[in-house]
Amino acid sequence: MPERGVLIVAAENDRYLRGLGDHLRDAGVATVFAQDGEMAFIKAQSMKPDLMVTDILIPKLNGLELCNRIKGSPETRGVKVLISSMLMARERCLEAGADAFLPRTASRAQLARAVFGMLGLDVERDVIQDKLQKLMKLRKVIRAMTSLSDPAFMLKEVIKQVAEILDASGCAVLVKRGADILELGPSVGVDKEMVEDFTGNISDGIARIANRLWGAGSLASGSGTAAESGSRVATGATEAAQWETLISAPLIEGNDRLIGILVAVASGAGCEMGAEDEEVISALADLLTIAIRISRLQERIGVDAFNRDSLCSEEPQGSNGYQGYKDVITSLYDTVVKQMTDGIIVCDATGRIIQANRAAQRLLGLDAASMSKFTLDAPEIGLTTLDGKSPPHDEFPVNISLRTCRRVTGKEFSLKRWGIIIELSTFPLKTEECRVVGVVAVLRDITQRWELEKMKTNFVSVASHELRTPLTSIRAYVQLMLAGRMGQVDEKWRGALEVVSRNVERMTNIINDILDVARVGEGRLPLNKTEIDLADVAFMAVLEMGTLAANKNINIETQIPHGVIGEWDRQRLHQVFANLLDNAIKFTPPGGKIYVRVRAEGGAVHVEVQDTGRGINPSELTRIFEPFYQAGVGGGAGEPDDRGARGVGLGLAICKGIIEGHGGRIWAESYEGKGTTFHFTLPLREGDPKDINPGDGAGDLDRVK
Amino acid sequence: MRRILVADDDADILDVLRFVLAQEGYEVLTTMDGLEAERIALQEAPNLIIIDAVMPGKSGWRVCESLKSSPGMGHIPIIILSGWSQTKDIERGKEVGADDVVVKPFDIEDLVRRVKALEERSTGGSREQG
Repeated sequence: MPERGVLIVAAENDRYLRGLGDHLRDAGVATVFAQDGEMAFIKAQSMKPDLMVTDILIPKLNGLELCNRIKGSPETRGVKVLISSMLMARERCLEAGADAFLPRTASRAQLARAVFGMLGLDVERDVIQDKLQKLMKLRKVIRAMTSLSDPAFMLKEVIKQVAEILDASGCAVLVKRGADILELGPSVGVDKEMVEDFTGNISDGIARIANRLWGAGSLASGSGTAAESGSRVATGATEAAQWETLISAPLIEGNDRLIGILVAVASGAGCEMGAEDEEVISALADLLTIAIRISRLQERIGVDAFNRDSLCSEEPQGSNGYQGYKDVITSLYDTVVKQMTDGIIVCDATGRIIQANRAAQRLLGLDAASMSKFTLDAPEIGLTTLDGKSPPHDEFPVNISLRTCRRVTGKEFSLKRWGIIIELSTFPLKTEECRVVGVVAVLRDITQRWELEKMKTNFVSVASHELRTPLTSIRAYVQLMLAGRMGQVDEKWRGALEVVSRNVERMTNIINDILDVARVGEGRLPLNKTEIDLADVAFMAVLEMGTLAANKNINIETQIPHGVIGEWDRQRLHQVFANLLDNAIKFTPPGGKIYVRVRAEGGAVHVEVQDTGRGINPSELTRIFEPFYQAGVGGGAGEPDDRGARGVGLGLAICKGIIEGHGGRIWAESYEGKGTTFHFTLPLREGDPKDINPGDGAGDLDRVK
Repeated sequence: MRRILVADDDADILDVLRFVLAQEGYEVLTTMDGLEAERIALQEAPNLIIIDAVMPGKSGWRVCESLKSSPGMGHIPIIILSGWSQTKDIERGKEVGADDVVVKPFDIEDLVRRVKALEERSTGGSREQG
């Protein structure tokens, strides 16, 4: 064994040569590093190594000069010199006396082999060692593929292992989506921008990769198709400064279907893979192909596991290799479903129960044999509305999902058998053409939550009731004093009493708002619907708020046609108009304008209240309808400009509750600096679903018998 | 002198109503218990009753219901004071036969106007009966 070993001359950041050092040490070869040419010469003189490996571009003396000096000095003449460089300078190196030259595109394994050869060591043994190590790494990839169940995480883990094997600083899969798009798939150490050039149109992407690999123009004359030109493993140094080595390999499914491209890059110094390692890269690409297949399968199973026939039949023939995976995953999935505490039920296209997990069977008192006789809303099952009535057939979530091909979430039903409240959500099972073939129903026992909510609402309701009693006598006495019923009141007293009176009104409004918002949250805001003309309501509100506006020199302009008749709650709609106008006045500077427009269109009436205030920050436009949210508090655009802003942030939440309770919609639109427009719609004829939800009818056409 | 029975379990509300109704020239009977209110009503046959919806003893709703179906009592106007919500309580007021439902905190001048209107209408009616 050599006592003197190898001297490696490498800059601190030269991963390539530093890596070689580690490799040599592992193989039991003494290795010493030098960071510049002068130090290298001194070390060579003192240790007299068997071999010196150096780059050309090193500090103080360059590699060629160093080589000259070593070969020119009698003490060090016997030291063999191997130059490894990015510079293609074989001739000059040999002229300078070097014994061998290897370009940086050589893999680290090739380099190691050359070094072992020059040291006269058993190269073959090392090659086997090297292959064994690679096999071990491949095993890690396979283990990641088979042991992780989260598809995204699994792919990430696999690509991480692949990058490690390739010794790449970045590794990515460009996944083919659709016919001709390449998308950045799982990746590690690669940011979007780095591979931006390759994604998008698939043939462009491949051409760009080829350009990077072989230089511009080499593909210009190529007549190969996208798949052909992508179906080659290739490595190469690129002239682009971003990275030095690029590896690409096609991911091919079956015999010839391109599903993506593996791209690995190494920045700084070299990548271990050389052209001769094509098999390893191909094998990794094959593994990645399988990993992607598994992950896609896992993602799909979410719906398809309930319908194993469709899962199997949809797969093209000839992919039997994956059948095993499918079976394992499907049976795992079945176990999870079985053990879940939520009840899961599958109904067929007629609504009949065809499968129920353990929790559902227990909840509904079903056994596997009897369940197929029933639909979920059958009286034998025992689900009733909260007030104990049998659920109306057309409104039952299962039937809605079957009819409309849409999901229905969070509907509450009572289950007498156990005295509990069930939250029922349904999801249509559909084929790719959106044909409904069944429904998955999820049943959750929400009794505890429901009781808590009831307690909360009850508390709010009792609290607001209790607050009214003391307010009653305060309000009454203040009124009597102001009316002079309790003796003469002088100016000073009157002023004070008026402040008390105004604040009592404010408190009353707040209490009413809190009670309203609690009811909205509970979905039981009582509506007293009668046939009314919306113009009456709108004009009344404009009239009432007119004084407030006039005080700020704000003009309210109206476009309100008479004869927009509907079944609505007069008082509640008045509340909506008053609230929106109050807000508009609050946020509009003096001299500004407010517009109120009403128009009937289709089956609905559309109302706009527009102000010329500072506007609302777009990020707040949906949040302003949440209870207790106040626009502008979190650094937003507008702050109310009078201190008497009465709101506690409930007005818009109540408006939303009122409008939605009428089957309408409310939203806001704002341009900062240009004001805000609130819109709401109300259906003109109650009970006609087409007016409320124009899309609802579509599912009927696709309904399956 | 025309008499009004006021029943509410809040002494301050009772006081302010007694004050203003006396000022309007009524004799005011008061109680803080529902059962007691029903007993006084049957015994004294006042010209009008103001009763709180939520009372110890018997709720204002139930007192109203039973008085309206008692012989010789049905014509006495009853105003129920409610501390809850307008829409729901007005419905309930109709069900139990109340002549009016007023939500707290009420406008006291408005309440006085309602009392006068109801009382004068019914006194006219009872004179015709007598």
